[in-house]
Amino acid sequence: MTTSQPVLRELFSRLPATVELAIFGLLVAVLLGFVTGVIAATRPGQVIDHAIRVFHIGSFAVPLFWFGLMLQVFVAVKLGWLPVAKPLSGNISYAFQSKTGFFLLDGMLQGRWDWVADAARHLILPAITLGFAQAGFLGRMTRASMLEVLDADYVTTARAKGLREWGVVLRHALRNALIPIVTVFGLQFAILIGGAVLTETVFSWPGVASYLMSSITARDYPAIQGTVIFIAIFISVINLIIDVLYTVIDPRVRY
Amino acid sequence: MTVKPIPETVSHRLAQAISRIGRGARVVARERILLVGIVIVSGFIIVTILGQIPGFTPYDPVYYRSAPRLQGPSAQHWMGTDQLQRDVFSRVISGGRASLIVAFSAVAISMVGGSVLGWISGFFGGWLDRVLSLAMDALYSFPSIILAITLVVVLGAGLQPMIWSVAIVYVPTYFRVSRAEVLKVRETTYIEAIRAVGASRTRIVLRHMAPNTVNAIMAVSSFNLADAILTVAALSFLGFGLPPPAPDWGFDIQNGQKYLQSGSWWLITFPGLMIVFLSLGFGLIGEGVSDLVNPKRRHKI
Repeated sequence: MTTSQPVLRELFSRLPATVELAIFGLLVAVLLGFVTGVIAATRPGQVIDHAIRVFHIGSFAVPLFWFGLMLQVFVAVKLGWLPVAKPLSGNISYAFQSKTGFFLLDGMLQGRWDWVADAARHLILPAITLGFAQAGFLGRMTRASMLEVLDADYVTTARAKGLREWGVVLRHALRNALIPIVTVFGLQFAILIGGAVLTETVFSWPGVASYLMSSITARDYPAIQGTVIFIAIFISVINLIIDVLYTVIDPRVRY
Repeated sequence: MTVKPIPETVSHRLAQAISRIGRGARVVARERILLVGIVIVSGFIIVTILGQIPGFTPYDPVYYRSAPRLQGPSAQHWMGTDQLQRDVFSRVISGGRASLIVAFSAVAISMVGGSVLGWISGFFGGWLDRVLSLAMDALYSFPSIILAITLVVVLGAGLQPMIWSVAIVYVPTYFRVSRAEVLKVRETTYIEAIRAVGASRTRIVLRHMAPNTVNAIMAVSSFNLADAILTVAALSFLGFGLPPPAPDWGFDIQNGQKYLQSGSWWLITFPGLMIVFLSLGFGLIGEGVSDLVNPKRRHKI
């Protein structure tokens, strides 16, 4: 409305940016959370286990927007390693032609690898920001669920067969430990979208959530309503997908 | 042999109360995580209250105007100064007021509201339970920060609207916990016995079911406070909190964001650290309380 565009069209044009951010945020969360959770669970009671648990509990207490700003100040401004904000550099966004709306994909499709590199560099900090907030939760779940599974009889059997420890952990234990984790992750996805609001605000990311914020500032009520409903539908669709995924991970579940 | 009734004198009651407090203190001291959490949180509360008294902070947090502008931490200004020449340290000390007030009141409201709804829903069952559960699930599945923002937009900015929006966001948490606990005890023999004696439904719920849910609710509420602190900080960071001149962590961070490009890290870092420690304090209390309430957990997590 403020942008004199139908709200829905505006939302769809901004969705890819949010999805791109969410996917990479999720990737960071899974890497950070999963890996630390599995490591902690395989060495219960050791120093590394305690260190990881402190990291997990501590990460709950860190406000996501503040963590993003800290990355901006210290990594981007002070060290100058990565760009501060926005999905593309100024000169590139000028020449950039959007086809799909996904910045990385657009660059690849048009064979402009300099665009891809630029977009990737801009994506790192927001993805870490978004992923960090989820990592603690995911890691805690992974650790608890892995500990339970590692005690089970079939894991002992696998060990008795003489399989290597990592084979046991990854093939036999992790797969079963995934079941409760995926269940919780459905709910966690809503929190991911909530986190996207703050991440997009901090990093001036042109996604759905930053549209919500600018509509609120402009008191653009139809746009606010539309965006909120859009987000609700989006979350329901994702939850449906997760339910379907469930059958892949746990073949015992039938619908 | 007859049991003599213990005489209920004032001194006796006092002795009982003192021994109860003593027992509580011993339990807390044994649970080290809980102790650390309580120390952190009470430290924050004391400092924030003292910070409201003029003259406690080294400089006036709002009207001090004779320091250098945007200067990094120094001996005179431990946390530097902002663009209006105010001392960041003084602002950080007194800036927790809104966070603490909103977090505590909101959690109190949602705790009472959510628990009562949960008891009713769990006890009566039927269509009432189905309607309430559905409504709560709908609220719960929505991202809490977006829900809070939307509610604040509807209710307007300021302390009171913020309390109500944050409270509504957390009602489903308590609803779920108390409903689950009520369902657990509803079919037990002792409830059946009380019913057979002829107790009224209100009495059963309040005297015999509600106390069973208290443990679980207490454990949830400390974690909830940790989360509420972050939600409040996010709301005031986005500009829905106290109006500008008042010191407030979230808002000060938003203000510092403007000077981020020039490398003024102290404007953002220190208020943020306060939020982290306060939230961590509540989180640790939550861990400690859960361990107390459910000793089995200690070995698992």
